[in-house]
Amino acid sequence: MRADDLELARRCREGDAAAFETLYRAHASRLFGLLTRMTGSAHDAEDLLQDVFVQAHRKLASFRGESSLGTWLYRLAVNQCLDHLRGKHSRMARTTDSLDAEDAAEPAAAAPALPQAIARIDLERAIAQLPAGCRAAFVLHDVEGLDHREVGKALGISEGTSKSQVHKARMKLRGLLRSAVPRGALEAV
Amino acid sequence: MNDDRMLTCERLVDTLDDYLEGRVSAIVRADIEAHLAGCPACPALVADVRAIRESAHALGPIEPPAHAWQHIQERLHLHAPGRASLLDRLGLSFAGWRPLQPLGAVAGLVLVVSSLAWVGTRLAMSPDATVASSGGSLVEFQLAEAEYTDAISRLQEAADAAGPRLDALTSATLKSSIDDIDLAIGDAREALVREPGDALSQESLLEALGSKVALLQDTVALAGDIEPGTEEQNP
Repeated sequence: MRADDLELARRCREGDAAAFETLYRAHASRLFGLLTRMTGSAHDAEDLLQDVFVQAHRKLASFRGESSLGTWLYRLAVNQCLDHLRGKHSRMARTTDSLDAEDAAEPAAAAPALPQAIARIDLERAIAQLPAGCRAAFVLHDVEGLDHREVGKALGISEGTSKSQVHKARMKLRGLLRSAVPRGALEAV
Repeated sequence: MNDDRMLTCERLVDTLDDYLEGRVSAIVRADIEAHLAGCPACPALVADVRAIRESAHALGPIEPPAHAWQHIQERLHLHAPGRASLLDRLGLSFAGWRPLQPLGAVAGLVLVVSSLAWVGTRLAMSPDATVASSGGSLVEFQLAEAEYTDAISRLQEAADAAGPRLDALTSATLKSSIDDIDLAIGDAREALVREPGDALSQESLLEALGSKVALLQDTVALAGDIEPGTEEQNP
C-alpha cells in the first residue's frame, strides 16, 4: 500500500476538491477504457464513469488501504458495470448462447491469417459487437489480463465458464474481423 | 474430416486456448504442433487467435470526454453550486478580480462557508440520510442548517452594501436568482414542517441554502470586480 494513496484518500475525505480531481485524472482513462469495452458503448461508459466516481466519493470513508486506490476503484468500476449489464440484460448468460454452434465449429477451409497486429479501431469495433456475457469475460481476461479464476470471481461464474466465454469471444471476434477486412487485404498479408 | 490424424481439427479448437496460454502438457503440445505442421486450415486459426490475444492485450486506456469531470463535479457539488452558471449568464468572469477593502471582511466567512458546503454535502450523501429521523443525523442537519442560515445573514449584509455598485441588469438577474432560491428554501421548509425527518427535504433545503450562499458570494465578488468606469470592459 503506497503512502501517497493513503494521503490522497485522506485529503479527498476531508473535502479537498483538488485531491479528488487528482484521483480522477490518475485513473479515469483506464476505467473509461474498461467500461467502454465492457459495455460496448461509450455513452453508457461515460454514465458509469460518473457513477463510479460519485460512489467512490461517498465510499472513501471506508477505504482502509488494504489495496491501492487504483485497485479499489477498479473493483468499484467492475461491480458498477456488472450491475448495469445485469439490469440491461436481465439474463446475461442467455445472450451468449447463440454463439455456440456457428463459431466454435471446425476451422473453415484454408485462408490467410489476420494481420499480426490488428488495427485498434477494428478490434474495438469488433469487441463492441460481442454479446455482453462473453464480451465481459474477454475484456477482463484478454484486455485487462485477469486470469480465469479472477474473471470467474468478478463475474460470478465458474473458472470453466470463464474459459468457455473467452473462447467463444475469440472465435466470434475472428469471424467479425475477417468479415471486416477486405479480401484483398487479407491475401496481401 | 481429418479422422486419420492423431489430433483432429475439432480437438485442436478445444485445446487451442490452453495451448496458447501455456496450459498443456509437453505431449499435448507436441501433438498440436504435429497437427499444425500438416493441416491446411488450423495454422491460420492459431495465428488469428494469437493476433487477437496480443492485439487485445495491447489496447490501452481511453480518455473520457472532458465534460465527464464537469458532470462529476456538479453531482458532488465539488465547487460552489450556481457560481459558474450565474457568471455565464451574466457574461462576466473573475479574471483580474481585486477585492475592495470592505469585502476583505467576508474572506474568512467564505472559508467557513466552503467547509460548511462540504459538511452539507456529506450529510446529504450519507447512507444514513434515508433514516435521518434518527437522532444523530437530525442533529447534524439542524446544525448545518443553522450554520448556513447564519452565513447567509452575514453575507446578505455584505451583498446589500455591495448592491449599489452593480449595474441594473446584473442586479435584476441576481435578484431573480435569489427569489428562485428563496422559493425552493420555502418549499423545503414547508415539507419539513409536515415531516421533519424527511431526508430528501433536508437534502433539498441544504442544497438551496448552499446555492444562496454561493450566489451571495458571487454578488459580493461581482461588486468587487466592477469598479466605477470599468463596466464597459465586460462583454
